[in-house]
Amino acid sequence: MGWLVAALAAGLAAQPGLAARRGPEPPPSLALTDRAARLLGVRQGDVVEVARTAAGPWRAFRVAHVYQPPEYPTEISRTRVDLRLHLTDLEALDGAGDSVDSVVVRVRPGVRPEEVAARLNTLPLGFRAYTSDEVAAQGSSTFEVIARFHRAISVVTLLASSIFLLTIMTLRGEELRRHVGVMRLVGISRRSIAVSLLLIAAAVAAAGSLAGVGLGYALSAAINLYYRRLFDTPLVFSAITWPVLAEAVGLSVLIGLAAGAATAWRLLRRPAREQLGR
Amino acid sequence: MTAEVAPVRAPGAVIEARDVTKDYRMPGGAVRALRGVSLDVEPNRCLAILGPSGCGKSTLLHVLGGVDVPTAGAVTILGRRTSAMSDAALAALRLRHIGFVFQRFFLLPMLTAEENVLLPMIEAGVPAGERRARARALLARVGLAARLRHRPGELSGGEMQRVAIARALANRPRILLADEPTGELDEATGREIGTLLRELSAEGLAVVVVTHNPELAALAGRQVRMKDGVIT
Repeated sequence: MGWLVAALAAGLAAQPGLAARRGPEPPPSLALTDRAARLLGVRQGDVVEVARTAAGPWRAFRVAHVYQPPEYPTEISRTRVDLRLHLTDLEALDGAGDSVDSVVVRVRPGVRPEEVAARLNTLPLGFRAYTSDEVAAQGSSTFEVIARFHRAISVVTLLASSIFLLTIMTLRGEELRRHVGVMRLVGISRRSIAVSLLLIAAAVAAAGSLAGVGLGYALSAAINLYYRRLFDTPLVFSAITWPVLAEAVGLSVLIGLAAGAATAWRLLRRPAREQLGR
Repeated sequence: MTAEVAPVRAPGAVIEARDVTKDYRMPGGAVRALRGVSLDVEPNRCLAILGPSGCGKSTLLHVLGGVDVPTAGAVTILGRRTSAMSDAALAALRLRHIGFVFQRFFLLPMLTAEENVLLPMIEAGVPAGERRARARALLARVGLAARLRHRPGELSGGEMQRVAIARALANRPRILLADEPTGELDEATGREIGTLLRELSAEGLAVVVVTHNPELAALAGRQVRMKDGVIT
């Protein structure tokens, strides 16, 4: 395309290399990300001055295009201004000849990137080729650690909620002790009573998990709202997917059934007359 | 569904207890609650079991009702020996042929009067329409036609005991066992309950009442006295 991405990695406050100015001159053109345009307070047609360092020399450029780049989670916390210059302008600004750090190669459909990378790496060209999966894996190690934390938190939460549910069912079971005794004297079978207790426990667990899902949706919405504003990004920070939903409700019901089974076993192993306090 | 119960035997005693002994294992050692008790319970009769606290009346009632099995001796209910029956078979026997009434009513507080009466019929598999009609008829019979939708907390003691009696009669049992049914009621209400039990026995039910109340015992056609686990 003739554009080269130039990332001037400096905070906006400490960013003397870029200044906004409105004027009628027709200087060379550049493209800005929408975020950079908002930070600088400029729009298409405006003129900005760009320098390699704060000491200058400054050169004026016309904002020819404001574009929306793809968002990467690894970059959301960086306050930087991305802009694109024509290669010749960049060389002039930089005072150095044509040089590149990296080249992105797009393979044709059906061609395996691993094979291309392997073949490129056999050539004595002095660079190393990576597939996009490898680059993504290198860039997402932080997220892998976070995901492990999340798994640990979920295990602890499940354990705590299981104990909580078991406690509720134990207390409820003690309340039900006499009622169960009466039902058994009346002739209600152990099986019917056990099924009733399982259904009660499963219903309590399902109701709890549905309340949790509602809370989760509300928190998720709040988290997304807050961090999207904070980082000025459309990225989704928290998402409750159907598999997550199904897993949460399914696990809750299973835990509920286990708690109900434990309660039923405790209640029904005792003779009916003991349950009536005789 | 619960286990099947064998057909009812020919007329005669509906419950036969022979040399029944019942021991309970306690932390301090075994306690003998019944010592060689023999007793027949017959239809169309109301039997009152009297005696001081701790003499074994309630234990005898539980053994006669198949709630407990004897340690020694035999109890035969409607021709079936309880010690040879499984827990499920005993539960089915109680469900279909024996009604229980307790001193403290033991109604389920979360259910209405009608629902309490419906409960044993649901377990017995009585069709929905029939069981609702039967529950209403039973509650009308005990004078609570206007209290169908009331929960136990909204009823007086006498009304709760009437609901308990209606529940005990839900599956048209052959036997009604009542453990101190007037123990928590005032004198007038207790008399009403006693009269109701006598009427039920007159209609063909075998009624056994454990009581301290001599007035209630006097309403029964037959009385037996217990002391220290034996019938005196």
